[in-house]
Amino acid sequence: MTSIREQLLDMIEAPNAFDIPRTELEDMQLTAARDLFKERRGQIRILDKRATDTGIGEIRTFDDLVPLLFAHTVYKSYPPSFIEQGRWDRMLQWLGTLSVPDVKNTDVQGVKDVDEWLDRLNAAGHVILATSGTTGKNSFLLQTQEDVDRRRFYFRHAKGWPYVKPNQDRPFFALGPSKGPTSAVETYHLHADVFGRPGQKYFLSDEPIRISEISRLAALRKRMSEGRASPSEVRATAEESQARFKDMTARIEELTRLILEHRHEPIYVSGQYAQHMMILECAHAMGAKDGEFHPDSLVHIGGGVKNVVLPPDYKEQVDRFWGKVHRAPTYGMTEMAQALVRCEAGRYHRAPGLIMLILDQAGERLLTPADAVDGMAVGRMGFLDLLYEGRWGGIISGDKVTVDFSERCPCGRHGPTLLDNISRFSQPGEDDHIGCSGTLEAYIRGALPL
Amino acid sequence: MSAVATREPTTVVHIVKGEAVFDAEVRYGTATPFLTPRLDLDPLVWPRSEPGPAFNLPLDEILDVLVATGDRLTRDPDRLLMEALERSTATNPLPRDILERAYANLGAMFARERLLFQIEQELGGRDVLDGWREVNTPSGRRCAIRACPARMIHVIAGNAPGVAASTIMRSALTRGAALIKLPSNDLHTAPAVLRTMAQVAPGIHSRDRFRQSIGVAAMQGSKPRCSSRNTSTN
Repeated sequence: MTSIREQLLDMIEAPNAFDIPRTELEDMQLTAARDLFKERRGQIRILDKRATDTGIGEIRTFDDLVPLLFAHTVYKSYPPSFIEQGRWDRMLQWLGTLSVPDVKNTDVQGVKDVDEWLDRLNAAGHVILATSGTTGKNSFLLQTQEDVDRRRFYFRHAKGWPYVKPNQDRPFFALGPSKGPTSAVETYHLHADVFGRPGQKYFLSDEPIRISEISRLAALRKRMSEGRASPSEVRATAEESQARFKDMTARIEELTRLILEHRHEPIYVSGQYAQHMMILECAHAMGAKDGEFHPDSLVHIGGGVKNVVLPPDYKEQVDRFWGKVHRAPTYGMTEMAQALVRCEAGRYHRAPGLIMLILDQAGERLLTPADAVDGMAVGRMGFLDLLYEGRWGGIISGDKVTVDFSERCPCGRHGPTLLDNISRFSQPGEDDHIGCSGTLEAYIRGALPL
Repeated sequence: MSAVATREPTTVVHIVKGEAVFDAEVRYGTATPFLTPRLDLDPLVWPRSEPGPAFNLPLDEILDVLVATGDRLTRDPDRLLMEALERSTATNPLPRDILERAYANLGAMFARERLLFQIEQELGGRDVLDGWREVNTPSGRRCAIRACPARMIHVIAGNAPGVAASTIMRSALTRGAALIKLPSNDLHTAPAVLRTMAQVAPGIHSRDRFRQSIGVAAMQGSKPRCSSRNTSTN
């Protein structure tokens, strides 16, 4: 790692990490991006091809990064037939086109399903994150062990900001599984590492998330919406999930009891709305009232509400239940190591090691203060995350964000910031047209001996 | 009178894609027990990814099939209706003489002039069943409308046998795909009408296409104690 890049990543330790004037950061960020591109170009085939085709030989300005950003869909650009037909060697080749380390050292002999493929990669020293694939296809993103350690370092200094400093001293509750290759699981563990009191870290389940299972469910959901699923398979799946739900109900009771036992000291709780609702209902049934928790507690509510039916006022109910605790939400995605943190004024601030690149809707042009009305502009979230050793951290996302280019955030710290109104350009299931993404996927497929 | 626990169970026939299934595998009920084939929903549904089997049948052929079915129901040469009547007396709360008259009247429901009246007055005319009718909107634009067939689940009433017969007849006229859930108090009429239809000669092609688009089965919801949720999800 070059010294400037390392310096930027280490700046997260500084008390003013989220309050550094843009002018102080930009030169360093540009230098780091220039060095990183030079290094990665020789390591990641797709990046090299993209650079050649767009004629970007060197990063001289932030604009030069725009055509080099990978669409978020690139990490699921493998042909589905590779998985359907069990071509794990081809999947390795595909992953290799996007990764820095050579993954050919992975033994794929006799691999039965995608979960075993991921296990083998792990055994060969590669940490792979898979997205939950609610749209039917999973993304696979490689990290090195150093990336994971760097993320933990980032969490230690950024999580809980600006209210709470992680100190490994709280009872820790993750309303999710403890095992599985998804970024949610990894994030739970990193939070447990930095916030959790040893011996008091609790998870909803130790049953691993299986990617093959998630894919099977997504495929069934798709067939159901197309009217091609048979009643017997729908029923079998419904019975399975009812059984799983029953197991979970018992564990929810246990967790609720533990959470209530610790409610008068600062705790850490993280989960999605559906699970928060379950804890809430269970706690009420046990006689607990709303708003009884220690005010220094930290409660994270993450993720969207996917395929779950909740009462219309679920957000208000969950809010009332936890009461006046700290929330400290962040804005990130599986593709991003250093999530943005939200200040007292409700704005998202970025870490020094995250180069924020807000683009026009087509994803082709960098927005600047000249595009802004009253300092603000609406655009597509893009970024170069300088943390990754395992892959290219340049990503163009499907998220619609409002950026405030002003020198100062209403909280008093330096900008730029993002407003708390992040949405998507497309709804799940719709196609999101990003200028370069089709081209990039074509590259990747072209890079394979098909 | 109702606590006849020792009554021999009757056997209920399912109709799956036009074929009668006679297996007596599952037992329901206590006071008036009955046996049915094991329920397999897979062949009883029509995937939305393809048109229903009867969607494009010409109306004239459907009329021929229905009229011939009505005629055969009246004559009942295979004594299928008679058998249904005998079995129904065990489960239907109506007195036997009323049931007998109701069964005797089923065939007349399929008379051609009654079918034509329904087509003209209830469905809006044969042209919208067989094709597109051009209409002008108030703003002067020309549009075309059509009575499109549907996929339906019929949870029918069992207090009179005419309900089962008219459900089958209306499914045929509208050419939809229909799954009929048998009511616990009329388990036998719908299968008997369809088995009778299977024997008629005119419009054999249309007859078999229509038989493909109708299924009849007793399901969990037939048990009086079951919640209505079961009937609606099945």
